Amino acid sequence: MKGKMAGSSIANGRMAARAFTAIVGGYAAAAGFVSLLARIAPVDRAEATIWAMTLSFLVYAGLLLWAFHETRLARVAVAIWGLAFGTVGILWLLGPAL
Amino acid sequence: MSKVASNEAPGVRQSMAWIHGWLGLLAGWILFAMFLTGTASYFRPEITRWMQPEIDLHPVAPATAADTAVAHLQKVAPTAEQWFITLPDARTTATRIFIRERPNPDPNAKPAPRRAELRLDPATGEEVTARDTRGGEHFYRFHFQLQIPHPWGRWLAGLCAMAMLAAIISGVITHKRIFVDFFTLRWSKGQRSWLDAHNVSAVIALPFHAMITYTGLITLVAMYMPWPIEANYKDPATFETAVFGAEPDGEATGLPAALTPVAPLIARASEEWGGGRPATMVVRNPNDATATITLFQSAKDRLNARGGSIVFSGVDGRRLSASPPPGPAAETSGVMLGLHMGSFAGPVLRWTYFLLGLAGTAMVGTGLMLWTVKRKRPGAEPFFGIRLAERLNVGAIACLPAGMAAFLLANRLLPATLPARGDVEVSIMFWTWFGLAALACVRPIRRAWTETLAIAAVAFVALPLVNALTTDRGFVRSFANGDWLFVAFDLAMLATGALLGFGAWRAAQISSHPARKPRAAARPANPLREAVDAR
Amino acid sequence: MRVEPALLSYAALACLALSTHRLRRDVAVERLPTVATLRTFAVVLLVLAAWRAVHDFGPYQGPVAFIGMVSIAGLPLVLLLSRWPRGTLVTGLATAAVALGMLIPLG
Repeated sequence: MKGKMAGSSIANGRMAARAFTAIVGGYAAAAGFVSLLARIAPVDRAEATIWAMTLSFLVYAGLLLWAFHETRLARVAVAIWGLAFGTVGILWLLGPAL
Repeated sequence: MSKVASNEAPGVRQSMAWIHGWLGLLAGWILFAMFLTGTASYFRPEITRWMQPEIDLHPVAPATAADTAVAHLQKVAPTAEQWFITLPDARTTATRIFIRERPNPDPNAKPAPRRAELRLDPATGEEVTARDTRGGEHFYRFHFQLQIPHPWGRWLAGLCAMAMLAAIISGVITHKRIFVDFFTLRWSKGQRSWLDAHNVSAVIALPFHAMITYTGLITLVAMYMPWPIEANYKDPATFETAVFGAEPDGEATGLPAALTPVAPLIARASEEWGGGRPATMVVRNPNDATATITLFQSAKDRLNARGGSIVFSGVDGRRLSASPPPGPAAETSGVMLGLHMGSFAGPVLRWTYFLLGLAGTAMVGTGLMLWTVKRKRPGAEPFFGIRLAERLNVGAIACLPAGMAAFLLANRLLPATLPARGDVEVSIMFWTWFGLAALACVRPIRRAWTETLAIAAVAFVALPLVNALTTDRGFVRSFANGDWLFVAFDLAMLATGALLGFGAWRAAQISSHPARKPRAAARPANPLREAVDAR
Repeated sequence: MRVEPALLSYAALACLALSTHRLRRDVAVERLPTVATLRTFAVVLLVLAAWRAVHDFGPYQGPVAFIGMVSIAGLPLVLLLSRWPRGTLVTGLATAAVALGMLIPLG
């Protein structure tokens, strides 16, 4: 963790990439993940939608914290952007249910 | 036990302490303002009533208020497209009405100017006039819109709330000895005191902090996280209809038909809701053959803030439709909304909410203080970031209360007929807040604390005096008349002034005994380790 | 006034505080009840507070009131502990007496 606070421009760039991945990528991944759950959950559409919306912030918070905890930036980036693009891609293929 | 846990997961506490510190700092100043104004908003109707002392109405039954409001609207806007009537209750004593005019059929015509919300005496239906003010609504709106143009204020508030949620989770993971720290508060020990105060205010009301942060995000979930709706529905309106029921949207036919009396509808709705009362009544196409009357259930007596609604025919009073009963998810999110707003709370619970909100404000404030105190080294000139953070701390913690007091003082001191009076009050709050914060920047930091806190304290103590001099509802008369709202308001202002005065006194003490500081500074140099092994 | 849950919670938290090692040393009163006794008192008082909260505020608002009031009761207790540790004993006993007294006529 101490390395993150070092003043070099590489460290700053890595920190910026990590923060962007955590905040923007984390939001996209959380949104995609809960939306996919809402889309495929075998319960009433409206209920599934509300559960997904209600729980989304917990997912986002978890991803956000993990993105800063995991030291390997590449792993963070692959996991979060992978989850984001993967879930959004599946949703795009599925299309809206109603 | 904590030893074992830290051996099992090396690094988790360190990384969580690190992220906790930065999230708390970056969002802290805005979160402080959100917590403080949100806490004040638990008394939103009471603040509005205090800010319009010339209005002193007495509550009546909802059916009476609805009748008088409809009679008034029949006089002033019999052919409007919609009437919105918010019925009074024990806390908001006036009936509020809003008229939506029919759009001009000529597409080239300018849209009619939006009519302002009006307030009526529920007993007579007469329009109530008083000094123009935003009242408690101002603190409420600022709490989640931050006086920043839509939608950016709400997005910024949401981002800060998200930071708060992550800070709470990381703070709990960082923290080893929650139950011992519950009882530990040591004074005059510099950094250790701030850490104690931060731990105590955070741990003691942890269920409230976690609840209020999460439910705060839920209040605007449709804006922050609409994607599950997009994933399931081609048209979001389908989702709204499925959850909240269909809202009548028929066009007027132009065939006149007398509007059915509303009092019997209120009685029927109340019976259907098992004694629940209506809060809002929407009349669409009044005096037309297609007229409908929708009643929305009040959240004042239930945890779920989203009450049901029933649509009646406005011609013969037939029950046309009702919102579907909520499923478990809809019920859960409605209860979360209700827990955040606390509108179900009676006086005792409302004060409990208020004090818990103050504990949250204290948690954010002490966290901000801890961040700067921890990083200052004795004898060394603090680097720019720390000095900036110190100044922003003064600006948030001492100057925002001063601004809020100025808002209330302006309400009493500005002439009642001043044009755009309500807006002037709001500007006075921000000029005082930011002006004082700017002035404090040119003073030595310790002096800045003492002086700004003292100014805020004086402003709050002045409020009861100014109120007594400028209205006929001063403390003595209010006490004699049993006007407990005004009595309690004066006492609350005095208590706030005393608290800020105590802060000013402590700040003065610390600045005149700088010898106490080195105790704090004798801590290890690595701020990370400190947060982790705080004891 | 329906504040019994808060008073009972205060007394319960005072018992818990008196069962901590540091406070037992600071209070320095002989024949303080044992840690186990104080913890039992605390649990009993908390159960009473929860029951009063549900009784006064109903099954839905009751839990909200109980959690909120336990939290709120902690604030004055911690402030008192930081200045006058023995005050915990005195005020804890006093609030317990007042709150239990308020319970009697109501059953």
